[in-house]
Amino acid sequence: MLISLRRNKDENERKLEKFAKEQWQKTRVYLISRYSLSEDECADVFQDSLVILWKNINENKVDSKDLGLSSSTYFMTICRNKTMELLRSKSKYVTTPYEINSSKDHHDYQEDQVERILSLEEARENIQKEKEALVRDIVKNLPSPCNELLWGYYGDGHSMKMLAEMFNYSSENAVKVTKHRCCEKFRVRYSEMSKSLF
Amino acid sequence: MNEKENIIQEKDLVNDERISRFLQGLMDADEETAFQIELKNNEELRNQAIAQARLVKGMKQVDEELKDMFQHTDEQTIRKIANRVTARKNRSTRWLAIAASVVFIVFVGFKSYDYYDTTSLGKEYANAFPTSSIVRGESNADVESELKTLFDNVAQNRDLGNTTSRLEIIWELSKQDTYNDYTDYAPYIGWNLAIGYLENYEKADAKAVLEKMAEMYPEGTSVGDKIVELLYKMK
Repeated sequence: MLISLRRNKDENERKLEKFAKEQWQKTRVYLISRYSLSEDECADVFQDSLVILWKNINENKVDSKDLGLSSSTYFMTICRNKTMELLRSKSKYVTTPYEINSSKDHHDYQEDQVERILSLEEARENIQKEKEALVRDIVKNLPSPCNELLWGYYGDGHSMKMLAEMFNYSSENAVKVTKHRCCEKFRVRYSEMSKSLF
Repeated sequence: MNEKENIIQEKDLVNDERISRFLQGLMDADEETAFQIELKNNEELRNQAIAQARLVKGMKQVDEELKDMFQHTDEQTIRKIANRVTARKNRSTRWLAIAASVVFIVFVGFKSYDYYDTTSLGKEYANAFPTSSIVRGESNADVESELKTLFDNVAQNRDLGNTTSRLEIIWELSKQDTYNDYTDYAPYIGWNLAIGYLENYEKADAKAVLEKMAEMYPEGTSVGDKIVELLYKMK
């Protein structure tokens, strides 16, 4: 029993570390390029923000249904707020040509619309759970750049403009094309793996 | 995918856009109705839409799993992860390290200053009572010879460890009630022991000897006056 609890704890820690690593890669590049923060300042912002995210989740302040934000997007919002706090304290407010605006740069997916589309899939009610588990498994292990783009677009609801900036794409169109290819790869993989469920 | 399939056409990107708009509920009633009809008739579009809806739902579920993991983790673990990921110590640890460094530097600085001050004081008072004026070769030759060597060592800042060890012993002998070979030399033995300690940066031992001497040799005597003077400077 104790061994099992310990194993779960280690597994949780490993998964949270994976999430933190992905966020650090994104956040670091973003904060340095947009706000000209130093490496140390980025690390300070990141560390504080991760603890705030943890606290807010534990205090049930992060409800994706209410806010429409994924943990990653919510985390990015915290990072931006912490950065602004830092810049204000340094009296070094940096105006940028394209300021992040959560309503403009973020979109929400409607749960009922998602279900309406899924109802078009061949009706096999008994394997819905398995299909969902399959998708979860695939999206947890997407290769780069699909991992960043698909999670950024469908998971975090970022705009194409935001994604282009975050991941250094030359234009929104470049993101659209790569994202489309990633969707197609997902579709093929999902379709192939779904067959094994029948 | 073969090369032909790999070419992305404008309509593919337009369809992606339409699917997103539908999933976000941004279409007006007419557009939505038309889109739903197209979904029923166009298998390619339908499969694209299903794949994207699966992505949205799957990612939301994974995100819920993540939140659940956060809820089953303590703050300490989160801080540990944040430190590991950013590959550095957290701020509190860094500030602690900086504070410790400052304390260390101040301590070392203070110690250096104190060392210089104390040993200089020893050197300054080393010749307050020249050996020649104390040991004149009038009594026990062996005792006087040893004392001369020890006092000279103190005056010349030489072999201080061994010198103070020996002086400690004879200082105790000299203080005994029973008259012995060292009794007459007691104030100078004590004085040289205290100076030897100062030169060797053993300030507390020097002070203890001088305070004991201050009880034995009152102000107004040459030794008594020097003791008071030196103790004052040591404060």
